[in-house]
This record gives sequence, structure tokens and C-alpha cells, in this order.
Amino acid sequence: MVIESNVIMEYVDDLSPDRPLKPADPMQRARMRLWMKRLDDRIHAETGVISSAIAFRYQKLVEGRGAAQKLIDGIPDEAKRARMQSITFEGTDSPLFAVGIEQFRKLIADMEDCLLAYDWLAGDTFSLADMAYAPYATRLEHLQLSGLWRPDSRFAGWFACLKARPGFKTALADLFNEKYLELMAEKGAEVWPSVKKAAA
Amino acid sequence: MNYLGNAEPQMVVCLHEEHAVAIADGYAKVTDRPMAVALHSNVGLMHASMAIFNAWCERNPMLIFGATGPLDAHKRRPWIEWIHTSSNQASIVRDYIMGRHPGSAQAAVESVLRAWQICQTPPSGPTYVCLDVGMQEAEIEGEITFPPPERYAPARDIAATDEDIDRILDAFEKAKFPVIMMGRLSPDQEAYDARIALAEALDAVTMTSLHKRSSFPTTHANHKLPISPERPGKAHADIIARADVILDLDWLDLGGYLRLASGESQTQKPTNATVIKISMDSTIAKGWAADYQALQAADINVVARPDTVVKQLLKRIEARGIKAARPDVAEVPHWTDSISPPEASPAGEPMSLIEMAWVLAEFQKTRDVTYTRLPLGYPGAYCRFEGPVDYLGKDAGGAVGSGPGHAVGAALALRGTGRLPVAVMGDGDYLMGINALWTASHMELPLMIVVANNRSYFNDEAHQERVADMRDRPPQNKWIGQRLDQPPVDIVAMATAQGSRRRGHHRRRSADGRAGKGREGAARGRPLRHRCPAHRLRGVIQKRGKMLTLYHNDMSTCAQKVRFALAEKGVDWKGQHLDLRAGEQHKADYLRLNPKGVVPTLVNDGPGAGWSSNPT
Repeated sequence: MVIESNVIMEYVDDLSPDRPLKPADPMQRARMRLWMKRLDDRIHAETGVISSAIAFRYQKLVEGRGAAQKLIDGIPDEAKRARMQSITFEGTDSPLFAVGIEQFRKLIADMEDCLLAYDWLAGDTFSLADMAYAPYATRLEHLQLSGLWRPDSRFAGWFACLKARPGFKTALADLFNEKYLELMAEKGAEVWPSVKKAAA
Repeated sequence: MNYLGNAEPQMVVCLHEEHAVAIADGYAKVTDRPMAVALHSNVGLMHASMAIFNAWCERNPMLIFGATGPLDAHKRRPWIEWIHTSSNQASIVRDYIMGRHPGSAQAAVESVLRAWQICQTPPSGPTYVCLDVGMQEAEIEGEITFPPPERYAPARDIAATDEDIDRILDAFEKAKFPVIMMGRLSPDQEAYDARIALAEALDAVTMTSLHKRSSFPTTHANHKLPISPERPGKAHADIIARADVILDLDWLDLGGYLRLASGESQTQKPTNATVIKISMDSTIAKGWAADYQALQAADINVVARPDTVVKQLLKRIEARGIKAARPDVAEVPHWTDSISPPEASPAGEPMSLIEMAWVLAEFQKTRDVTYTRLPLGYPGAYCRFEGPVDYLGKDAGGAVGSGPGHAVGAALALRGTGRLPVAVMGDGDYLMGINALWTASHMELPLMIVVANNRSYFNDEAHQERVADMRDRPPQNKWIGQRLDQPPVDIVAMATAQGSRRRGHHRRRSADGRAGKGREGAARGRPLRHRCPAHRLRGVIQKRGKMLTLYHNDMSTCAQKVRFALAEKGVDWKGQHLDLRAGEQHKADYLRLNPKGVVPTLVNDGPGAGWSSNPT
């Protein structure tokens, strides 16, 4: 068995030389891995923060604060548990939320710089890096945070290209959970004005 | 050439003789000037013969050099020089060239000067000079001088008589609805401007054809309809039916075009309009190929260079003080009044030709573009050509495979002008001429190629369908023998193998994506670009049965990205969905697979699964 999503992705690609999903060029491949590493380093965790702060905390709170507390206490990782505590009970007022949003602003700016120079994150070729970031861009959109990028930006064009791929449909869109989408849309719309204001 | 260090002239290396000639043909399409082409003995000439025929039909100047022999059999090396010696080598292309066979160095000077002169004397065409190996290797006897070539210059302005000019203007003075059909005309800007002045002074409806280089602005007030496709549609036929005077400036196959427009053979029931034909073409009718086209009634038949006659007419118009304003012409609406963007193809679907044409037309607004080629069926509504080299026309010989060579030749001619050559071609044309692109990479020529990929020699499929319809046979068999699929050719890889760079994406973007990124991407000035439709993704690998199991969750980002990779790789897998809100990821069974208690986990139970447990 293989664990760790980045590692699994490379493993899947290494199963066969057909349809390579990693660039052949060593520099492009290094760039691909740097982008993927950034997800593990920070972005994935911050996605958990903003998703819970805006929307998913309500799933925990629906059965009362006690039940929510019990769920949080069950998280084995100590740091993660502490984060969840703050986010679940403070929501977007948690200081962690502002930090998370800032991380995404920085990420989108860096991606924009990259995509001004290249079609894809690694360079000229569509790679695992693009696939790896697709769910995170999608999550921002679901959370009604697509105001974080300009509609005419390279980022927007890149995201549109990703969404047009058949793989996006079968791997993501076809499995979207409507209840989650509704919750994120509803709560996200409430939060966006304050996020926008904080940026101004 | 080696002796001169590959400068003045520079040798442009090509991977096929057919491309060498096609490149020279593309160069002439832009410049109306001859490029020299060297072809290897009889075999190279045979390879190049189709491209020479294209140049001939286009009336494009070109200086072709070849060799044969040694004609002296005693001097031949065994085998190779025997099979590469032809007694009358030019005979294989004789019917569509003018050929010379010099016997000495001095005679070679004479032959080259003559070939240079002939190839540019209207009507232009390719010339072939064949140099005997024996002569090339022989010691030079006596002195050789190279006189200034200007003294052997081609005749250019072959004019009409004053009487003809007055007869033409008399016909126009009586006309209510005159039409000028702009055909095979010069790329010279001055000549182009003169045509505009003529159409305005005579207030005539003008027409241009997708067959030929841009000869008149398609957006001009007098260019009432979009550029005409090969077969006139109803709008074009209606204009032809209303015409009382037709001025034919070397339109390609006027007889055939009028026959399609009216349904009447032009030697059985010719048009009632007064036809004025201006062309040099009858002077080179050879009879081998019927490239003289259908015979058209011509009430005023002038053998002169059309652009020269335009200048003569303008001068005489001024002297006679003609300034026409015709109410019948004014009332015809202009095609640009009713153009809107096409309907978008559904996201994820291949782009339609009409949508692609629209995108290119939008791109064209951002910079100077020369379309070196457009495919059959290209929508005239997106053909806004406003200068003489905005569009270079089709291959005149009607073959497949000249598109890439013509594009490279045009790119060579346009180098340094700031214009971007854009070649839009079908996959058949592209694939047949693909290795012409190597020369563009080698010469670092900017060139954008757009492949309209229908995975077929589709022109013929359409033909098969018409024939099936005619003979009451099943039209669903039309694809047999025409499809270029199974496996689909990797269009992009074909280009990258020639050193070209791959750019852009094949599928439709979102509404803002298509106008944004695609255009920007193409405008960034890389040396060579391709914007190609690529193959659909199919699960062609990992067909050994479903041995991959993914433990995942529908909305988990980490699971989503792995599923994306599996889909793009085309791998089959089966899923075990975990309810994360119910805490299924923390159950003991799952923790044995994934000690962190997170999704996803991939289990490979197939042969060759190398990992029995995780190292962490």
C-alpha cells in the first residue's frame, strides 16, 4: 500500500511510462515537486482551517457543543486538535482564520507569477502539480472566495483549463457532495464581505 | 556555398525536397520574388515535382537548380551516377516549368540570368536549370564575368492598349451594378492601394476569394460580402446574378465560378453581363494540365498584367473625370453589419472550427498577423483581411501536404517585420508536410501553427458522402479509407520532434479563459509555437484488471488530487469510500493501512506490486 497523497500521485505515474504526468525536464520536475511540497508544508493545513472556520464547523456543532468537543478531543495529533478547538468555537473570528486567508493570498500571487511565465505550474507541460492544486482552487471557489483572484488573471485561465479536462470531471466534479456544496455556498457568502473588507 | 561560409546566400536546410520548393513557394507568396532552390539530381526533382506544380499553378517565381550526370558515361562512378543521370531530366516537370541545360560555365551564367528573367516575367513561374556534373567538375576555360543582373531584368508592366482602357471605362459608365473580381494579384502595397482607389472611383462591388492571397480589404465598404469560399453560396450567387459588368482581374476559374453561381455552363449559356477579362495567363497555356480552367465568355479580352491595367485605368479615370456613385450598389448591406460571436462549444468538448476562427480573429486584433493558410470550410465571417499579406491563399495545385512548407517559407519572408505568421491547417495537410517544420526551428522563425484536427482526410469523407447519396449507398461508410485514427496521431509530438515548442490547450476554456489566457499565451513571443488539439484521454494503460484500490472520500482534497492523477493516467481503480464525519478513518482496520488515519491510501494487489508495507 502507498500513503501520502503526493507520494501516491508519483507512484501512480510511475506505474507505467505511458502518459507521463511528470515533466521530463529535470528543472521542471523539480519545480513540480516544490509546488507539491508547499501543499504539504502549509496549504493543506490552512485549507482545513478556512474550510472549518467558514463552513464545516457547523457540521460539528449541529449536535451541540458537547458533541463537537468530543469529536475534537478524538483527534490524535495535538497541534491539529488545538487548531480545531479554536476554529470550531471561534469560526472566522479565530486569529487562525486571518492567517489562513493571508497564506492563500500569497499562494495565488506566487502562482500568478509562475503562470505569467508558463502555461502550467511546472512549466510547459501539464503535470501532477496542476492536478494537486486543482482541489484547493476548487475549495476556494466553493467557499465563495474566488474574489481572491481577478477573473482575467492567468490563475483564472489556468483554473478554467483544469476544469475543462475530462479528469477533473470524473475525479472531482462527479463526486461533489451536494450537501457540502450548499453549506459552503451559504456560509461562504456570509463571510466574503468581511474577507474582502479585511483585504481593502 | 561552403566556400562563401554560408552567408550571402545562406543555405536553408530542409528535410525533404518537396518542402524546399514549398518553402520557396511560401516565400514568393509574400514577396513575389524568386528564392533559389537546389534539388538533388533526378531523384530530388521527382520528390519536388508536386510542390513545383503548386508554384506553377500559383504563377509564383522560383529559381530551381538541379544536376545530372556526368553526361559523359566514361566519367560516371558505378551504379549511383548511372541511375542519377537522365538524358532529358527536366522532362519530368517540363509541362509546368521553363527549363535550361547549360553546357559550360559561361553558358551557366547565361542560363541563370535567363531563368531569373523568365521566372519573373508575367505570368511568373518556376524555372529549372540543370547542371551536368561533368561540366561542374571540368576546369574552367577562359574568363567568366558576371554582368549586372539589372541589365537582364524581367519585363514587368505589360500594359493594355489605350483603346482597351477606354472600352473598359465605357462599359463601366453604362453599368448599374458592376462587380470587380479580384484574383491572382500582386502583394505589392502600392498595387493594393490602387485597387482600392479603382473600386471607389468606379463604385463597383468587389469580391475576393479564399483561394487567393488577400488582394482587397474584405472590410472595405465596396466588399459587400465576406470573402468567397471556393463554391459560391447564395449571397455570392445573387451578387453575380445582379452584375451587368464583371471585371475579371485574374480571378481563379471565373468560368467555373459563374457556372456554380448560375447553374449554367459558360460556353452553353454564358452570363448576360459584359465580361472584361484582364490576364496574362493565356500566354502560358500548355495543355498538359488544364490549369487554364473553364473557358469564360469575355467581351473585352485583354492580355496584360492586371495590376498594370489597374494603374492605367486610374490614370484614365482621372483624365475623363469619372467619379461613379451607384444607388444599386449603395443599397446592398455590408456583411460586417451582422456579425456576432459564435455560440461556444460545451466546456470539455473540442472547439468547433467557427469558434476557433472567432478566437483567432480576436487574437488578430491584438497584433499584425499573416494567415499563411486556412483550411477548407473556414468561416468567411472571421476573415478580416485588410492588407496585401494578411492572407496568402491556398495551395494552387490543390494537393495535400504543402501547408507546413508554405508556412515556413512565409515565416522566412516575414522574419523581422513584426508580423506573426499563423498557419491554420487540417491534420491531413499538417501530417503530410510535418517535417518542413524542422527548418523553421533550425532558422528560429516565429510561426504559429493551429491544427484543425478532425482525424480524417475529411474533405474526402464529405466527397464520399455526396457520392453515396448520389448512388443510394450507405453514407455511414464514408469514413473507410479516410480516417486518421486508431491510434490517433500525436499531433503535438510530431511538431515537438521537429524542435517546435508546444503551446496552449486544445479544449475550450471558460468564457473568460478563452479570451484571456489563450491570447496572452500566444502573444508572448516564443520562437515557435503550436496550438494544437491533442488526443482525448483514454484508459490505454493498466489493463491488467482492477488491482488498484483507493481508500478515499468524495470531498477530501488529498483524495481529489490522487483521483485526478488516476484519471489523467487512464488507470482503472476501485474505490473504498470512507465517511470522515463518522470517523471511519480512525478505525483499527484502516489504521493498519494508514497509521495517520487520513485518506487517501492506495492498495495495489496486482502483479508487480512492490510495497508490502509503508516504511513510516
